[in-house]
Formats: sequence, structure tokens, C-alpha cells
Amino acid sequence: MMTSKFKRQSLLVGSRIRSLRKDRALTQADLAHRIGIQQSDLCRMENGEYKVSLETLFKILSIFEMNIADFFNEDASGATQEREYEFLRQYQRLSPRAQEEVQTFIQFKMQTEEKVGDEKIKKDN
Amino acid sequence: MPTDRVAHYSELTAEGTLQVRRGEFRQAEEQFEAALQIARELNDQHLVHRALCNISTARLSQGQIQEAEKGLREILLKSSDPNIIFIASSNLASALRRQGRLHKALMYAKRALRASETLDNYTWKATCHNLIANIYMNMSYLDDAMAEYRFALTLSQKGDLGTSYPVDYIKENLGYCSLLKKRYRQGIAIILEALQISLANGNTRCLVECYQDLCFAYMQLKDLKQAEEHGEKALAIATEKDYKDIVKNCYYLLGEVNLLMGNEERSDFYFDRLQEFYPHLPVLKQFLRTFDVSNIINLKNPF
Repeated sequence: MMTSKFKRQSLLVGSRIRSLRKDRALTQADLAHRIGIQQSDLCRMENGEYKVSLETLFKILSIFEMNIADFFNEDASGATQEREYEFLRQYQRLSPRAQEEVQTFIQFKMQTEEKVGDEKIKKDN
Repeated sequence: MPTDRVAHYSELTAEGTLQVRRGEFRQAEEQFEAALQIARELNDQHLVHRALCNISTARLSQGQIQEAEKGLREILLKSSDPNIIFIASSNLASALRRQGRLHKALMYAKRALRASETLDNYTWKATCHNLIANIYMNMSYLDDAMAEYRFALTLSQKGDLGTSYPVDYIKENLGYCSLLKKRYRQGIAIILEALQISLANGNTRCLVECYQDLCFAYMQLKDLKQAEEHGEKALAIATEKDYKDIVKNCYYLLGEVNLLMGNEERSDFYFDRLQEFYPHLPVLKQFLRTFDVSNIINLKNPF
């Protein structure tokens, strides 16, 4: 059985590949042909069920001719992006347990901010 | 005298086969080329086919896939000898596997399996199931792959192969497959067995794969010092022996391990080396620094 962490990470790349493919109006057959794999395998890759070689991963990056921001659909503006990368790098160095704690804290902060936002709307009304 | 020439052919072939098992592929190819020359002089089609199949094996091991594939289909059309059919089919399957043409590869691997059933050669039978397992592993059908590896080990026991070739490879692959299934401790135990066998057999290629996979396993367990030690051993041997696929994997693994250790300079050093293999992809280093891809890659996918 896959752990939730693994599934989430695979799906992240797989679903991104699917959306980039659709943005460029490529069919699964077109992209599979360009990568050099079977269409059924690309389908499993997009669903996060197929492990790829480094070679294939780099080929996909190269086919889409993208930068990192494109791949993960983020704002490419310099300083913010660099700070976020640094945060991600630090997060990746943590143990799985510590990562869970960070996620819990982020969820707590998001809920707090939502509450503050709701109260502000009520006040304004 | 033709008899002397045939004897010389056999000696060259035997020496080349031993060299393949020791991971000395370039030297093996030279022996097989010399044997091919003799076979052509003798105008013996069977010996020519056998030598061509052996050359193909040596080239495959050196990563010369297109070269290795040449002539194998023609041999399959012409030969009715199950020995030749086995080697040609399994080499063709290996060549296709390494180009990512996995469904075709599986078809030829099964043809090799049918040929092996008529032969009393447990080494070949086990090798064939190991190949089929490798294809399943490349397809990410990990349970099917594990079953094939285990069956290959059963055949090895049945054929009293002990710890000789291909038992080292089968155990190494089974261990790695366990790692992909996140059974890290079990995988490490199997790979350590394979490592001992590879050392005893002098099988450098298998040995270097053991070190590489142990590096990956310890990295996933966050035992980073162990991971680094094994990765460095793998890189040193792979560089010396010119195993390019392993060298690339090691640059990635050591880059990742050092990044996780917080040694950003060392990490950059390894990712820069990897980047040199992909000059058309300037984002590669940034990509690997930013994202942990260890759970979505298969180090044994050769394409």
C-alpha cells in the first residue's frame, strides 16, 4: 500500500504533466511517442502509478521547454520564488514526522486567517 | 586444421563469457570478435550466429543498444537452434527494454523463455525469468516483477546454481524491487546478500548496482552518512568502468543526499556534473534542488 506522502508527490508531477500536455493540445499518444513510451504507460504516469527514469523525467522537461515556475505553475518573480524554494528545500530535509507537524501548523494558520477574513467581512457589512 | 580452429573459437568464446560475468565488457567483445573471424573463415553459419549473439551481449552491456540489436532478427529468421534462438531473443528483448519498447521486449523475452524450456540449462531459464521481471519492474508492475524474481531464484536452487551467475543479479534486482515497494529493511538485507555474492564472483557491474541501490535505500531511510558512503563507492567504480547510466544515477543520488545533509556546495557539485550530461536542459539543477523526485523515479529504468 502506498503511503499518502508518496501518492501526493507522484500525483503532483503526474497531474502537472497532464495539464501541460492539455495546454499544448497534445494527445496522450503524441506525448507518449515523443517521450518514447507506451500510451498506456503515460496514462499511468499521469495518474502517479508509474515510476520513470531520470532520463524520461528530463526528457519531459525538455519537451515542454519549461522552467521550474512553468512546471509548477508558480509566479516566476525572483525574490518570492527564491524564498519559497528555500522553504521547500528546508521542508524536504525534515523527517516525515516533522513534515506532518509543519503541514498541521500551516493548516492551523490558514484556518485562523480564514476566520479573521470572515470576521472582517461581517464588520464591513 | 579446422579442429584446432574450432577449439580456438571455443576458448575465445569461453573467455569472453567469463569476462562478461566479471563486467569486463570491452575485453569480452574483443574475444567474441576474434571468434567471429574464425567462424567466418570456417564458413560455419552456426558458429557465426553464436559469435554474433555473444557480441550483441557484450555491446548491450556497454550500452551500445542500436549496435547490439543489429542482425538479431535475421538470426531469428534463419536459425532453428534453440540455443541461438534463446540468446538472440533475450538480447533483442534486452535491447528493446533499454529503448523503452517494453511491450515488444516482453514479447521477445517470452520467446526466449519458450526456447529455454527445451534446454536443460537452469542458468538460462533463471536469466530469462530475471529479464521478464526486469521488464515488469520497468513497467512499474512491481508485484509481477517480485513473483518473477522469486521464481528465478527457485529455478536457480533447482539447478544447483549456488551463488553463481545470475543469482547475484536476481537478488540485487529483487532487493531493489523491495525498495520500490518501500520495504527498505527487507530490500537492504537482500542487496547486502547480492553484494557479498558479487564480490565473491568478481561481478563488478552487479557490485556497483548494489552500492548504488544501498545509497538510495539509506537515503530514503534518512541514514545519510551511510547513503553517501555507498554512493561514493558506486560512483568511483562506475567512473572507472565507464558505466555511464550508474554515473548519472550516482551524481543525482549524491546531489540529493548532500542536499538533505545541508551540504549545498557538495550537492551543487554533483548536480553540476549531472547537468553536464544535459546541456540542453539548463533548469535541471534548479529542478532537482527544488523538488524531491526520489519517490517517482526508477533507477533501473534505462530509458
